[in-house]
Parts: sequence; C-alpha cells; structure tokens
Amino acid sequence: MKKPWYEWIQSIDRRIIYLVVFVLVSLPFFIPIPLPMDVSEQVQKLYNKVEEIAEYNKTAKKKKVVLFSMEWDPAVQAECWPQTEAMAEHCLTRGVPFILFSRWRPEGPTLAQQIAEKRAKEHGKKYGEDWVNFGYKRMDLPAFLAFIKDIYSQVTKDTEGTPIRTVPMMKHVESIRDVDLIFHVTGSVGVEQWIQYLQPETGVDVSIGCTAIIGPEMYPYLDSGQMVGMMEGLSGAAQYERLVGHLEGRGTRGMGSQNLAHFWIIAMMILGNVGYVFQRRRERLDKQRVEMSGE
Amino acid sequence: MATELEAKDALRRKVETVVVVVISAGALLYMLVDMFRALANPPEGMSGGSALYERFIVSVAAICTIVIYSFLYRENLFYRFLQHILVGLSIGYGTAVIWTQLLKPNWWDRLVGAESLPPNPWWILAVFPGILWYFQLSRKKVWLSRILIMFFMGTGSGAAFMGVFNLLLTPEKGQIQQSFKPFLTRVGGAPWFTWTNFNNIIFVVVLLCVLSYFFFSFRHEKNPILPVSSKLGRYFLMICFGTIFGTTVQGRMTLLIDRLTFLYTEWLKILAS
Repeated sequence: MKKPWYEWIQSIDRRIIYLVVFVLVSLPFFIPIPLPMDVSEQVQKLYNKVEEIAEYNKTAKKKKVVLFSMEWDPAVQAECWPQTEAMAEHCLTRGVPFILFSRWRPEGPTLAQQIAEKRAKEHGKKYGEDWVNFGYKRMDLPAFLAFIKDIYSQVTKDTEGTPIRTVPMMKHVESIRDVDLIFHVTGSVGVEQWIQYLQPETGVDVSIGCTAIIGPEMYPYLDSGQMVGMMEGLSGAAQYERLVGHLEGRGTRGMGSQNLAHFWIIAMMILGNVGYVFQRRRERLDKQRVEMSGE
Repeated sequence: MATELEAKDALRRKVETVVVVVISAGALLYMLVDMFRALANPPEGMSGGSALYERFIVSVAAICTIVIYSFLYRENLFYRFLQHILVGLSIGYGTAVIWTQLLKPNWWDRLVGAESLPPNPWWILAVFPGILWYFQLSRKKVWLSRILIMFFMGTGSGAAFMGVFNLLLTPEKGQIQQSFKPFLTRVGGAPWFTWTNFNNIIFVVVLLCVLSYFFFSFRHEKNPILPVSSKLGRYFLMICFGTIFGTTVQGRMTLLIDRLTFLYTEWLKILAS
C-alpha cells in the first residue's frame, strides 16, 4: 500500500538528507551567496575593547597586552581557528602585543603560532616584539593561582627556549596586571577560572571566543559585565572579520554554507512536524470512526 | 518473498562494493599523481622530498576525512579501523604530553639536574605520595590512598569556595548583585520607563520563574503562585535547551564546512586557500 504523504515526509532516508546537506554546504564555495550580516553587541564590545587598548598603546611607553588563552585543539579548529585569526589580525594591525598560552590544550599555542606567523608575515611583524608564545604550561589550580601572583614563577621560557625575561615584548609585562584583556578561546569551559580567580584580584577584563555549543552558557557572564565581549562560533568570527575590515577569512567564507545548511535543517524540521501533526490528526479521526462504527 | 529480499540485499552489496572500489581507486590515483607532481615541481623554498612528504600527509588526512564521513552512510570496517587508530593516538599523545610537559620539567629534570638545573635528590620524595594513589587498587590498604585524597579535597574545596564566592558576590560584577536590575530609569531627575527596563523586567520574571521550578521545600499545588511560576519556569528552560540544541547544530555544520574547505582547498586544490 502506498504511504500517505505525511508518513512519507517523516521517513525520508537520512542519507538523502545528508546528501542534500553536502550539496548545500559545498555550493557557496563555488557560487558565493552574499547575505546580509549584522554585528552582534558582544562582538562589537570585544572589538571596541581591543581598539581602546590600541588607542592607549599609541602614546604609552609601556604598552598594554592581550593574553590569548588558547584552550582549543584540532577537534574544534573549525570555529576556534577563525576566531583566533581575526583577533590576531586585529592586534597585529593595531599595534597590540599579545601572548599565546594554554593550560589545558597542548595543541592550542602550536596552532595559534601558525596563525600568528601567517598574519605577521603579511604585516611585517616580528616574533618576540609583537607577540610571544608561552606554549602549553600545564597548571592545575594551585599553579594557576601562583601564575596570577607572579607570571614569571610559572613561565620561565617561551616555546623557542628563550628565557621569558629576555623577550623584548615582555618589557611591557611585569605582572598579570599589565595584561589588559584575556581572550580565552575554547570548545569547552575554563573561562570561569579567569573570572573567579584573576578578575576580582586584578580587574583584568575577560573575553571569550567559543564554539557555538557553549555560547548560550556565556550570556550570564556578559550580562553581569564579568565578560566584556564574545565571539560565538563561526558567525562570531565572521562578524569580527567584518569589523577588522580587510580580512576575509574562514569565518566569512563559511557563512554562506552555514546559512544554506540551516535553511535546509529548518525546512526539514517544519516538514517533519507538519507530517507528525497530520498523522496524529488522521489517527484521531480513524479512532473516532472505529468508535462510532462500534456503537 | 525472502529470496526477493536476499536478491535485493545482494545487489545492494554489489553496488556498495563497486562504489567503494571506484572511490578508493580514484583517491589513490589522485594521491599518486599529486605526489608525483609535488616531487617534479616542488614549491619555492622546499625540496622535492619534503614537498612529496607534505602532499602525502595531506592526502592521508583527506582520505581519513572521507572514511570518517562514510559513517553517515553506514557503520563500516574502515570507519571502525580509523576510530581505533584515533583512540590509540589520543592515549599515546596524552601520555607523551604528561611526561614531556608535566613530569619531566617539573620533577625529573630537577631530580637529575638536567636543563641547567642542579641535581636535587630530595625530589625523589615526591614519588612516595604519588605511589599512595595506587593503594586504591588494594582493598586492605585503600586507607593509605585516602590520606592523599584528604589533602586534595581540602585544597580543592578551599579554592573552589573562593572561586564560587568571587563569581557570585564580587562587588559590582557578581552574578547575584547583577540579578537586581532597576525597573525604572532616572532621566532628568524624573523616573522613566525605557526598553532596558522592559528587558530587566523580563530578566527578573524569567529568573524567578526558573528558580521557583527548582524550589522543592514544600508542595507546589498548595501554593497560589508556585504552580504557575514553576510551569512558566519549565517553559523558559525548554526555550533555553532549544537554543543550546540549535547552536549545537550550528557547531556541527561548522565542522563539516571546515572539512570541506580542507578537501577543496588543500587536497583537491580546486579553490584558493
């Protein structure tokens, strides 16, 4: 017997759905689909904060620094790479020195170093003067608290083996108080520790670049002002790239694919639910008919 | 009927085998041609050997990506093989990281005097508390491991309490202080109702409703407010979970976009990187 339409749309082979997703995600790579994109408040605030540091650094002898807490690895690089790239580009072009560092993800600073080298090459910036890589320094809570008290007690050498105190950029950093912004990039959690242990003691601003999955969990911190800004998922990176202006990175390029895939998923959800409602209605009518014929 | 199904199944298997063979042959052929091309015309500043090695690595990564995505069609032997490789690699990598990043620089180098540090035999004492953990494997001597757990729990709880209080009660930015939001704004000396105040009202209503949902001290039915507020709280929570689910889908799509970007730009080179 032929299936009614409402049953058919609920039982479309998932492989067909995946195939359409594949085609829709691939399409914008070859045929760009320009779609409007608004910059969200949290991305704008993050951008403004870096601009504020850049303006201060223009005249200051002792520059303010951004600490990139690179708690990400290849599993989440789809979102975290463009976020790090957008921020690195902004810092390098606006004269904001930055530190790469990780407590939990050994791959984070290595990947971020690749990004920094790539961006620095385009702008003629130098390692050691415009950025420094502390690398992966495994720190459980007691060590982290010691790091907050004195950076140099926990980090003695950079990834190249150079003593940290001899790196030219570090003349701007006597203690963690000379870091003006923490940019924590992650696919899980960990940003809370900056808010819990660093911020109350030093007043350093904290921001995040996170995967879309954990984005909703960060809004209470944004609302309370414990976090100054956020890049959420690929769309956050694309918005930041737009603000930076001359950078059309992975974020912007991926948005067309993401939009099409989302349209398809929404369409499938609507179809599935319409089918479900009609099926229930049909079952109810059938039941009523059986009851009436029984009477 | 049964034979008809068996025949269909056999045909499907044949088609699947042909598809797998064609894709594998195509991928391997492309890999060889690509590597040969890299060897013949290495990029500037790169020797032929290193260019060949780089293209080999890219091809292996691309083939692994395709095999992992083959799971979307059906679970298969190749997918499971790569899954096992990944688990093995993760464990091996994790072990190496613990040694090179944690134990060696913080303990071994200090003990034996490597990396221009003077040797200090007292560091051998660190082994004994470490060994206490392993008494968890013994039923009789498990109490020895509890000595260590006691210290970890004490320091952990102390630091965690400090963290939670800082998070909730820091002056000006604490989560609790920030939950008290004004319903009216003073503009030019007179109270005024703005969009921010409207948002604040929504915030406070949602907060109270969700909190009331988790209020279990007495029965909700006997209270005039709690049944309604907790029901609303449940709906607000469902909206929140829906949002998280939506962003999860967004995250998964981004992973696919990243892999396709890699395949199109770095492996097939049909798009500029």
